[in-house]
Amino acid sequence: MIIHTLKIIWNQRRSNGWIFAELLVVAAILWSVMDSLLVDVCTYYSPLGRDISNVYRVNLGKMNPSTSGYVPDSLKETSDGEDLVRLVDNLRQAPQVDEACISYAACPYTWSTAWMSVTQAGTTDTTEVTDQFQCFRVTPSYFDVFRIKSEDGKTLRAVVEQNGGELVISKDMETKLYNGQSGMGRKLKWSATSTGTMTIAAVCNPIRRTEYERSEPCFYLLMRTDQDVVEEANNIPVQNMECLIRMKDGFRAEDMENFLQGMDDRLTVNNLYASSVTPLGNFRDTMLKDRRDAMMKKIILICFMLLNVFFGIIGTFWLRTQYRRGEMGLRVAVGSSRSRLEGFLYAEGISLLAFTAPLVLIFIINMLYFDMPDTVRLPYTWWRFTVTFGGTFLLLGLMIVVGIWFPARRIAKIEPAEALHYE
Amino acid sequence: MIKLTNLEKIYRTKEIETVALENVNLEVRNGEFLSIMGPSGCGKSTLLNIMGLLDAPTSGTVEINGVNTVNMNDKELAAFRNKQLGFVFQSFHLINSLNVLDNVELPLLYRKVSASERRKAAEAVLEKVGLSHRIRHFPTQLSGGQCQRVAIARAIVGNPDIILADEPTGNLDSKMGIEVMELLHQLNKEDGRTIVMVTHNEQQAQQTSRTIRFFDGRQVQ
Repeated sequence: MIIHTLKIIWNQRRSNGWIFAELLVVAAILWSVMDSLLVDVCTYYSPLGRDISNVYRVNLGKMNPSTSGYVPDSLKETSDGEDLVRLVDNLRQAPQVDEACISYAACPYTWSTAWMSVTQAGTTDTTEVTDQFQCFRVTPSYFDVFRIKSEDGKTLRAVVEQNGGELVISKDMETKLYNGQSGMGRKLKWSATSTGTMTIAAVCNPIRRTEYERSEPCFYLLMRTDQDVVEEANNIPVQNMECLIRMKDGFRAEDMENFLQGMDDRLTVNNLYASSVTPLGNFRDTMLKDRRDAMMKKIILICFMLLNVFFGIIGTFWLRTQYRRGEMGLRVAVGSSRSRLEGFLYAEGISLLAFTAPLVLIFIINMLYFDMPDTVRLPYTWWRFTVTFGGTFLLLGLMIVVGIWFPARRIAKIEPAEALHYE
Repeated sequence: MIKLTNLEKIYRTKEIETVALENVNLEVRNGEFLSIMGPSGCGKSTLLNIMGLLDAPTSGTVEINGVNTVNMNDKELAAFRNKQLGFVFQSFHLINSLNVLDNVELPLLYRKVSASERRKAAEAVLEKVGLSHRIRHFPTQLSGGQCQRVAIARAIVGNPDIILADEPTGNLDSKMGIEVMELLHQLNKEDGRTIVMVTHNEQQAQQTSRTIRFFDGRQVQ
């Protein structure tokens, strides 16, 4: 029966050629769309490396001389940095607050970033190891606020406090610098000519900036002591420093107003004050709005295209089956059962689709050769190939089966004598 | 061989009811060459389709070779048609995308017959109908008479006892019609096959062993 089916396909090659071409083009486009969608979905749902739920940014403000309660510099005994440390301590002591931290250019979902170049200490050849990495200035409590884990799943803050050192690097930075060897305890410096070195205290899980991006190698420069914070804060406008708090489980965003009222004057230290509090989810929504809109448009476009393809394929096979009603009547007359007849029609449609597979494979190899699929966010693996290639042909196969099923059922329902009239 | 009892066929739509066959009782004997005649629309082809199990009667029974076919399911009917019946149609009903040999092999495809046996059997019947030199041709490359001979070869390749022919010469010129009729007579006389033929041609009907006539769905003679 298989040879019989193949013979019919071959002998009808003129009309089948068009269907074959249609299936080939659709399969190639569908594969491209599925591959792109798979990359987006996998990227979106892969771990971010941190948890922003129940985390809020305390927006800082600094009074000016015209503000009531302003303390002139001449009367102040503390620096802005010391005021910041005290403000964060006040927040930390509140019973609703789980943890509070200070950072600079480290608040997720903001456009504030800092890039620094580092090189391996003790290496004379700097060509391979000097590179720019995203740098976050953080206090160790930052890791508790964002629940960042070490590469082996431990609480990162505990590892940092156990080990000495100024740096925490991400797993992908470790891989980039040390090619799979451990970076723990190794030393880095700012440039080949720097004399001072910094020790790597811990390696954390890869960190992704947003749900739509892959992780980038990055490192955390620790402000272990209050003095480190003061020094950092005194170098820049203090209100540009980031104060981040994690509220205890069960705390709701609606409770924030009451919390701030309860904090009262503890939210002001000299001229520094907490002007407002924003959930990090809001930052995320603002930052990702354009990406989400673009993604939605892409999904709508794909659905529209799939619908068109669906109707196109179904229509083609529907007409093809309808056109051959006389032949179907004959087959029943010479001894085919109706179920066998349907099986024959499905086999014919699926065989046509199967013939496109080698050409689609060549298309994919070419696409990979020219580096067209996104291999930055998701490496091209056998798993990815199987899902997209298999998914494409499964979807097309389903469309063909549906396209054949309706007319085949209709033909199977009518008496063969009637079907024989259609020739 | 074929026994039709109190056969009725009524086509119903929402608005009208058309009686195609009414109280038909008929017996076709083994080895008989029966012709059915009547004006267009009198129910000849309907009767042939019911005999060939291609259509179900509204009431009555169809017995073939002693087997009552009324309660058979689709699979049983398919197997029965395949083994016991051969069909020859006015418009040949050959599959244009298959060559002569493959068209003739078609009934054997639905039996557990190996490819080599199928081929051997098809070649043998094509030899019998005088088309062994055309086995690689496609139906579109043949004349009407040759197409009908291929259809006859397809009807007999499975060695059925009964051949049902619906105006087998209706689409052929007189010379080709004579050739096809000679072939059918040969199958009847030499092989002993029972043939039931619907025809409009009085001369052809007279050559058969018995003729029955229909008018408005009823057997009148």
